[in-house]
Amino acid sequence: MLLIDIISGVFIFIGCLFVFGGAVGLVRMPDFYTRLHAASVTDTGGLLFISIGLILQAAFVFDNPMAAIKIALTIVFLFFTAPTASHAVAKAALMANIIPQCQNGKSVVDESLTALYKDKDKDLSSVLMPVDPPEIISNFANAEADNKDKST
Amino acid sequence: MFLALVIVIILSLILVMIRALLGPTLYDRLLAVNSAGTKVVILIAAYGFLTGRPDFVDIALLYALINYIATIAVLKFFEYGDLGSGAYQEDDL
Repeated sequence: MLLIDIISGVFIFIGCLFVFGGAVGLVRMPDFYTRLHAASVTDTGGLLFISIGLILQAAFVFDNPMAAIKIALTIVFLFFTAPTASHAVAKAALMANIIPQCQNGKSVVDESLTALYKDKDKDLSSVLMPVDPPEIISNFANAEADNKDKST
Repeated sequence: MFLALVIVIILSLILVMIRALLGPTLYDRLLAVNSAGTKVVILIAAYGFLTGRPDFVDIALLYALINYIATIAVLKFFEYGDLGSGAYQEDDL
């Protein structure tokens, strides 16, 4: 029993670090997309470690294997749904013209990227893969070059 | 151990609720509410273990289901202004 308590305690402690760090990041981060990153860490990492600790406790200390199976089901379900919800929130924010910030406070991406999303969203194939990755990268590069031109 | 877990999750919930109240945009608030929902799932399960009744995980599983549906429904409502409409109206087809 003592060994199980120690192992599950370590797992729950790591999970607590993830959860609390994600919550602090959600308050302290400067930008919507960075906050999204902090919240996603909480959803996956924190939930996984805390649930592993709780499964160990339920199976060996409380002697209730049904509860352990249900916690495992919760893990599986949340690992499908939490990234989906995060992606939906991110895409909705991008469609609503919330622009990511870069390090020096200037926005790297200008209106062209969000305009690209909005135009291409009209046919079905582009919803499944909205923009080709090379196009996004070249867009970022163009926007950066424009910013440098403006600053000099 | 379970008491410490419950206290940490409640502190995290307070921080997340600060972001939900401050959030400059709608999406910050929605993100904070979604994150709070995930934390409440863990909180319900941990509280069940704290009081010696692990059967509380049934409620946690149910809450996880409701939380996901609620986030997607609120997003859809703010994107289209209507829960009944889809991304593709009948005119487009």
